[in-house]
Amino acid sequence: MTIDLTQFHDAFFEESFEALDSMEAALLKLDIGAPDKELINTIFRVAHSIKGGSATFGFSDIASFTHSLETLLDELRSGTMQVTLAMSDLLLKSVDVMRAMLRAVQQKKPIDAQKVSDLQFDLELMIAQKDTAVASAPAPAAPASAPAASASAPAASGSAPAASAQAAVIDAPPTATRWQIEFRPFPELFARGNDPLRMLRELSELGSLETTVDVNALPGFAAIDPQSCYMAWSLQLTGAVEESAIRQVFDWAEGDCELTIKPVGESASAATAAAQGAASAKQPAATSAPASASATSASAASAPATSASGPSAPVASAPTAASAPAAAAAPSTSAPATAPAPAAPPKLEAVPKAEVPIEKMADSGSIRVSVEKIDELMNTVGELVITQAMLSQLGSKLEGTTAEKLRAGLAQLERNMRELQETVMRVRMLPINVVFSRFPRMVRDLAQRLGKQIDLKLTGEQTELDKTVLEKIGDPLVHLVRNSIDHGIESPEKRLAAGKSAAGTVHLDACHRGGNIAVEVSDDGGGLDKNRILAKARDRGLVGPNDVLTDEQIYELIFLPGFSTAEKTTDVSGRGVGMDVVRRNIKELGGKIELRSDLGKGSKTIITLPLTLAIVDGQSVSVGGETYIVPLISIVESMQLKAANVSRLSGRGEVFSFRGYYLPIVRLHELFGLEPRTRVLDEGLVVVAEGEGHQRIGLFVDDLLGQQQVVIKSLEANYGHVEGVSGATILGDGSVALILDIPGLIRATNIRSAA
Amino acid sequence: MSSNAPVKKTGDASHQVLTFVLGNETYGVDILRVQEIRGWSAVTKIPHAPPHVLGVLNLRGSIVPIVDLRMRFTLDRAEYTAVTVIIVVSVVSAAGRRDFGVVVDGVSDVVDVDTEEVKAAPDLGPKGSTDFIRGLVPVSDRMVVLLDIDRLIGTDLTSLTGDAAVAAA
Amino acid sequence: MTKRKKANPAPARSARGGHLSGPPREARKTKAAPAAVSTTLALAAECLVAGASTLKESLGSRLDEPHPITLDITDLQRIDTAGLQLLTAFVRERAGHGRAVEWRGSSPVLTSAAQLLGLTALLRLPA
Repeated sequence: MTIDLTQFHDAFFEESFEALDSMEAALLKLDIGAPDKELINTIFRVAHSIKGGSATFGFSDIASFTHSLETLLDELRSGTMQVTLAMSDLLLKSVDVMRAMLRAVQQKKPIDAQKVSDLQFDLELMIAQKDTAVASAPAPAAPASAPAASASAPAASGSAPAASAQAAVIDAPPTATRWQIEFRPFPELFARGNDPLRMLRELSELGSLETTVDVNALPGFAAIDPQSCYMAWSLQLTGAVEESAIRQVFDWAEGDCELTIKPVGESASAATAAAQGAASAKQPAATSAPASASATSASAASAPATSASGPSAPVASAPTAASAPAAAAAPSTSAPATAPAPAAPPKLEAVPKAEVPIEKMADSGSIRVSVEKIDELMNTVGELVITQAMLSQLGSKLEGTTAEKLRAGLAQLERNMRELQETVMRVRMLPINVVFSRFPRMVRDLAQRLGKQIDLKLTGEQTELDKTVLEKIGDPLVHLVRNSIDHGIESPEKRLAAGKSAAGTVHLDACHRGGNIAVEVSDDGGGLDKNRILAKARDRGLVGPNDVLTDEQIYELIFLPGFSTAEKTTDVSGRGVGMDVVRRNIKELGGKIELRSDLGKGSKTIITLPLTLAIVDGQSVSVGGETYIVPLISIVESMQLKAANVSRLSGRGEVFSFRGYYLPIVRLHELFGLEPRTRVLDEGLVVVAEGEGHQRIGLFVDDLLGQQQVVIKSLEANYGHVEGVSGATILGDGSVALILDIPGLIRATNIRSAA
Repeated sequence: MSSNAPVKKTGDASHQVLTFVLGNETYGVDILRVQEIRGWSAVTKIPHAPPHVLGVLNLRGSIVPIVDLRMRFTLDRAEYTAVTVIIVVSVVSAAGRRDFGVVVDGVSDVVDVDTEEVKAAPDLGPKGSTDFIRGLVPVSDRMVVLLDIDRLIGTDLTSLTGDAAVAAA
Repeated sequence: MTKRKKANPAPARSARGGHLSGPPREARKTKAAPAAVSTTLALAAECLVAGASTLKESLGSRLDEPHPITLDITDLQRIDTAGLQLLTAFVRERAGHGRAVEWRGSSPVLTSAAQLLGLTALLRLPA
């Protein structure tokens, strides 16, 4: 049996990113003048746990950087350093760097070593300057950790420099204590991803360490299980070290070893008192610790113990796989493995490593579930919906009293199904705040960089969206907000001169609107200058010199690829690749985007999105005996044409007049090669549908059938892409209907009329 | 549709083949690729599809294209009757696994084919390449043409034409 | 009308040439000098828990070698407790039977790790 630690990587990355988010939020909340101790603790714990986790998995670059960060934070935590604006900025930068490193490792790409070492240097410089900045009580363990931090500076390979051995010989400052540590790992310590070498190395950085190894349990070579640990250690650590610091070193091995820490010598009594204090504070957790510490299933351990160990909350949530590494279990229980007497350790219970859901103690009872499971659930529910529709249809054809009862039952079933479907859809939905929360930091940085003053307003953050939609809405929103700040909001001087407040407002809002989600980004900046846009478009030949465009049409020009009216492109936005990509992204989500503006007053971008990607509200139409679905979101109106309203324009084919415009008529039967019920326009129906940017067409169909919610099935999985068709669905009678893609149809029509 | 006749036992190097009838010939496909067999039902047409792709059907919730093999082999078109059968097969390619339904006249037995008994396919002359024919094997009193389903249907249905040679692998 | 045919299991035929999975095999160089006075085993760059089984196999195959064995550590870059445990057991077992283990090359990694774990003497590492 060999261990593959990579199975735990995903959980580590996920949790680390989350932890970094909470660290960032805490940093932004931190009041420099009167810093909240809890916030500082939160920040410290994040650095500490990421350090431990990355060390476990051998991500030495991350571990090393985080170690320096942790050192600085420790100073902050123990009050030997005070928070300054410079420090806060440095810490925020560290968050960015850590995110980048994690991402690089996750994607198996190289880390930007220069950036990392530069920032690490800044961190250590700040730590080193501590003594000049604050003249107060001698800092515990600080001198020992500083050289250790530089000794573990990022190197290309993960090899431990010989310097760490030297770190053990540092002179302890006068207030030194000597500790006797008994460290007896259980055999499965290795299997849990722990390495005593790493822990002893950390200890050696706290003070001067003497090691005595006990190999009595080491069997003959042939009998050795290479994955089991048979060695134990007696250690003496001398230095200005607190017991809690020592315990922290063994955090990750919680439950996988026997650990005794005893003070030795004159300072014994003082240290014991401190230890007692610490131990009793941990009593509530300790009572459950012995039992839980011995359980092999880390998940069982973290559940009861976590409730008592508030401080470790950010990392309390463990991965869904119950065979969680000690990495997950350890920080959740701060109680020592053996609280009272160092008697024989509780016998290990062989708890089967079955799939056990892990409670995330931070909020009230939620479970982390993999996206695949939810997708499966949604598929099954989708199938149920189809089956129920089939049954309903069959039921409607039956006669008799039994048939009546059956129909009543099926109607009930349909109501149940709708509820089930909605509930399952909601499972995948998350509040848009997940995305909105990115913005305070981004806006602050950007405003600083561009010398603007921005007030960010967030409303409707609790509006829920499907997870997949949520994931893809972030980038477009970022681009829009950047645009607002960069091009929309004027500089404070200009604003004052214009009689506005010096600070501009950027407002992000989300709400449910008519079965869809509406997300708005608005600002009270200068608005869009139609004349400039028109001029630019004319410059590029996108618009003829004599064309007359409505306001809407002018704003639409912005969505053309390569278009940008920025005077000079900053590196933030204005590269001109933005808006067309934004629109494409929104379109892929099945939504649409429009611009509104008031010159001098501000602009507003409105994004409309469907609630979910898997289901669409559609209008069924029949053409030549085939049924097609037109997404309701695209439909403007359905009507019967009067021959008088139809004309033929040269170069544009058949058109009809609608609300003051001429729209092309798309004969679906021609496009699809079908035999329609009628070819006479006023004997059929026309569905006015809208594609991108207010482009409208009239779809000529035989009849309108019902409206219903349909489950989107992929046509491309087995067949391929068809222009004008976005997917397929299964109707109540089991047959397949194609779902139309209006923009695609518009393209297909344009190509044909151009031909 | 005939029932399963008992399969004859042969040597180790054998595999099972589902045989079916099309026109005057009997063909065979690897049983491991067969997902299911069903009767004919009306398909939904796909715009601008090649002529031998009749449309799509709902198969256990998936949208599966239905291919008329007669057209593929440039035989005369037949009527689709109550006994016309669709064999749903999996085609494997670099793009992954795709399911298709092929319309045939009728399904015959599942037989064990001894690899040693398979003879090479003869040159079919002007009709085109025979990449999709694995070989010929005698079964009872006739020759079964063994088909390579991956090559027969290929990966890109949307670009195949009826009398084309093998699609890109 | 739907009929599903069950396929009989096809004769086992591995699609690929082998199906070994497990920890990545580290490049092992084993130079055995034929009919020479000592055997040299060069340790790989990484001797970590993930490859400990492999390391045990390599060492185990030489356990009873009557001639002295030299462990060449010039390539060693990373080692952990599991690796050191095996080396310790190896040296100890051989010593118990009066068989020598010598070290060639220097590895600061090994020196520092052994010192931290208190194994320098047991490994008979040069001081």
